Amino acid sequence: MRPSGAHVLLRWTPLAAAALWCPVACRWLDSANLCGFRWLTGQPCPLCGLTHGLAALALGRWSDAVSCNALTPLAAAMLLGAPLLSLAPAIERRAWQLAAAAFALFGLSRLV
Amino acid sequence: MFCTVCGSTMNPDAQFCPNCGKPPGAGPFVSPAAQPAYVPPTGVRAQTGRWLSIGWQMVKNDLGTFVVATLLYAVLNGVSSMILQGPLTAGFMILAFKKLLGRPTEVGDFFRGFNFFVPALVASLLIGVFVLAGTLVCIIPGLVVAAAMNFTYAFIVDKRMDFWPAIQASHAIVKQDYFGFTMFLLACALVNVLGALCCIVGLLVTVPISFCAIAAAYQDIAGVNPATPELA
Repeated sequence: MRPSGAHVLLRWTPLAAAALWCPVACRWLDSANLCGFRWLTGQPCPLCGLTHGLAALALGRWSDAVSCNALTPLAAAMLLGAPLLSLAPAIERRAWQLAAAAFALFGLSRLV
Repeated sequence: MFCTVCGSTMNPDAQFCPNCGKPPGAGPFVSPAAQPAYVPPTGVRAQTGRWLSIGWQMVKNDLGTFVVATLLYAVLNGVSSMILQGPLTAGFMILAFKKLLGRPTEVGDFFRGFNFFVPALVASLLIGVFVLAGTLVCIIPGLVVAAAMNFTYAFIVDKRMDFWPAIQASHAIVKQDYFGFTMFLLACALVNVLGALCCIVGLLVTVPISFCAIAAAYQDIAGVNPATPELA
C-alpha cells in the first residue's frame, strides 16, 4: 500500500516535535539533570549534552555544539538524513548501527 | 488423546475437556518449551499514519466500550499498577483485536486479559526494568527499548506466547525499523499529550486510539489468529 501524504507527514511529526523540544528544554530545564546515569555516577552518559548541542547547532554555533557533545553533528546528520535513509532500508539500518556504535565508543571515551 | 487447549489427557469420546472444559480442537496448545522462535516477515516498515488512522476509526465506531474500558484501565492501574498493568494491557489488546476482526465487543472482554495473568505480569515487570535502564541514559534509549517491546502483549494474547518469546518476537519485528517504530511510539505519546491537554478527559479517547493503533500494526505485520479462544 502506497502511503499518502498525510501518512508520511505523520511519520515525521514526532521528529519535528523533538526538534521543537530542544530549545524549550534548553531554556526551561537548563538547571535540571534529566540524565539518570549522570545523577547516579556523576559521569556524563554518551548522550549527555546532545539537546544543548542540537539547539546550538540550529543557531549555527558549531563550536558550542561540539563542546556540548562531540557527536552533535553526527546526531544532526542522522536526524536530518532520516527521511532519505528511509528510502534505502538496508543502508538505513547499517547507518543507525554505526551511529549507535559511535555513541557507545564516545561514551566509553568520556568515562576514561 | 490430549486437550488442544490445556494439554490434559482426555477421553477420545469426551465432548469437553475434564480440566479446562473446552471442546476438543478449541485451540492449539503449545508448551512454552516447544514454541518455535517467531520469524517475522522481512522488510517490515512502520506506517505510523496508517495505523493511527485505523486506531481512530476503530475507537470512533465503538466509542462507548473503549471509553469504559479506559476508565477501568485507569482506575485498576491506580489500585496496583505494578501487578495489574500487564493483564490490563493484555485485556485492551483482546478488545482491540476483536474489533479488528469485526466481532462484537463488550467491556467484559477487557477482563479476559487476566487469562494471561502470569506472562503479562512478568512481561510488564521486565519491560519496566528494561525501559528504566534505557531511560537512565538520557531518555532516548528508553524510548527505543519501549518501542522494541511494543508488540509483547499482542504476542502473549494472540500467539499465546510466554513472556520471553513474546518480547523476543516483538523485538524481531521492531529491529527491522528501529527509527520508524520509535517514531510510531512517539506519535502515540503525542496523541496522548493532546488528549491530556483536552482537560485530561481527552485521554479517554486517545489512550484506546494508541492501543488500537498497536493492534492494527500487529495485524498488518503478524496477523491476528482468529482461532484464539479469547477472541471468540
